[in-house]
Amino acid sequence: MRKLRHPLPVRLFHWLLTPTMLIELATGFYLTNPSRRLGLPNVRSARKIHFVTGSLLTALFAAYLYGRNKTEIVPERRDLGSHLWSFLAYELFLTPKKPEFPKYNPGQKLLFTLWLFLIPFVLLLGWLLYFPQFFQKWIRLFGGLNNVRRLVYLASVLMTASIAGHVYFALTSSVAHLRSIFTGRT
Amino acid sequence: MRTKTRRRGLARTGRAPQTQETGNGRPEKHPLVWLETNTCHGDILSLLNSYHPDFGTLTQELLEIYFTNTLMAAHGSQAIEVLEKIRLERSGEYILVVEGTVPTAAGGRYAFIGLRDGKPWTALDAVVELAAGAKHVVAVGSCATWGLPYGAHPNPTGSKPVSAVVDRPVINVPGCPAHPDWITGTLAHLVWYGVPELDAENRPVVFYGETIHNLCQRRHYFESGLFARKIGEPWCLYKIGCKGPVTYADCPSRQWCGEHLNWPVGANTPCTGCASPEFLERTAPFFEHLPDVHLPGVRVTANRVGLAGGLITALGIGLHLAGNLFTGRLQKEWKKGLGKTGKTFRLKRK
Ligand code: HEM
Ligand code: HEM
Repeated sequence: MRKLRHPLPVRLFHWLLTPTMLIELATGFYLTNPSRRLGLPNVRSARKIHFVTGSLLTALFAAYLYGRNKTEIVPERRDLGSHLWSFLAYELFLTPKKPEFPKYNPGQKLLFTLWLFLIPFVLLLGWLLYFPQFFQKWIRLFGGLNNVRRLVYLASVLMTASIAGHVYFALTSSVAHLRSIFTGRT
Repeated sequence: MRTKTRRRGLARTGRAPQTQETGNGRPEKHPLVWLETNTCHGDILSLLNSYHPDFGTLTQELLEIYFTNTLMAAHGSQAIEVLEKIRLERSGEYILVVEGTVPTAAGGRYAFIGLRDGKPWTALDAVVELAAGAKHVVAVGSCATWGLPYGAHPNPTGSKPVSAVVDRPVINVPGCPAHPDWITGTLAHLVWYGVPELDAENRPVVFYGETIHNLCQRRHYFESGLFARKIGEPWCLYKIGCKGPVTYADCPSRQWCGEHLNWPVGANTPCTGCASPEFLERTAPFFEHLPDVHLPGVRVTANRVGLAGGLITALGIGLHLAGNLFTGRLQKEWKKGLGKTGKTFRLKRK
């Protein structure tokens, strides 16, 4: 029997998060720069999809934040020291020896931890944009409505870039781990 | 509709205007000081363009304007004496309107309103002293309410909005300039009914309760994706930087030019967000959807940051993929992985 790497709730979360996040980003970028070329018929539909998916995403991520044991995700001291160096040496092709880690490598941990903060941050900003009158004081704290839009946009760029990296490494670094996000086992 | 007007409107109490009759049957006028600090005079000129009531009616029936350096005949010590007199003798009665930012650097010496006892009276001291004795303090125009454009980086004069220099609530009536109705409406409400309903930014909700975007006649063009590509086209101006979605004001329904004739979007040019707290630094560039991003040493448009982010990611992934292929790691990993799958499959078949 193969080793269980991802229990069902984590896989379920992952495969609900993936489409909702991608839809949210696509409709978000469409709202920044509406264009028929992006495949959405009009702004009304884009906004509807963005808000419905945004609500799902908020619920989903709240459940993840509440339920997920974060010790596997948040870097430990050695993930920023010795583990990080051996990981970087391998990924920069300085050594052919693939280092072993208890579960996630330091790169994954840093990425997942970034998301642990970045996703709630964007969700919060999204809700500020959705209820601008109610959140006037909060919006002032973030530098005004237009600045909130800029922050959402920049955070979305960072989110997209990091997801691209995540998918690339998921597809190239370990077939066993890739399998495990579908089947649970390596 | 009615409840909405009531909640937001001027006549939310349904009370008749609270005016006191003078002996000759005319309503008593309310004393007012209009102080200009660092400003282009745009707001007082805007007020002069008010129609219903016009400026004449306003001064005959509502306001006794004691001081406005743009309009009054007196000058020099004669004018300053009036100011001192009202400050000392009518304390707690007058409305103070400030137009312009208040420079605070160098002890406020970047703006004098005149000489008092032979010494320069700084705008800073004048605002602080006059505000202390005023019944209401009203900041008119985006300079006085938000501090810009005079307070823009690097702000050598240390210019600040009125609310940052006085120690009491200030009613904000922003706009560059403020619409004549926003000024007269606020002043009339103060005189007749007291302080109007204000939002979290201390703006009268009746004028600033909704975004321009939500009131816009071209909103349906936005919803259905009909966008102007350049100035002058009669569609939604969102894609060429209209700040309607981030600006609270009733321009689309109130309109400008005296008899409520037109407004920027009606003239096919985007809203610049002049009434927004972010005006000017974060509503500029006027023809870009988002404000620029300041990176060390350079300022780039948000779109370029997005583009650069995409290119750097693609480059990083491309280089790593090349390394993966060149060293044979990727081929080995997939062979191993698939081999394992194959083996399981075979084992199962047996
Ligand atoms: C990870 C989650 C999210 C991402 C990546 C995201 C991304 C974006 C982006 C890129 C924009 C365009 C900003 C602009 O250029 O003006 C936007 C706009 C907006 N988002 Fe989101 N968003 C997210 C979540 C949410 C949520 C949870 C809500 C709340 C329902 C929300 C509500 C809005 C609203 C109201 C706007 C402005 C729409 C308009 O201008 O008409 N977003 N979002
Ligand atoms: C088709 C696209 C995707 C693929 C193939 C993929 C693949 C994977 C794989 C293989 C893992 C497990 C890594 C390991 O076991 O070492 C994983 C974990 C994870 N992925 Fe993805 N992913 C995709 C899209 C996304 C997206 C869009 C997000 C959203 C930000 C995301 C967020 C995560 C998170 C948070 C984890 C860690 C889960 C945990 O342990 O709590 N993934 N992904």
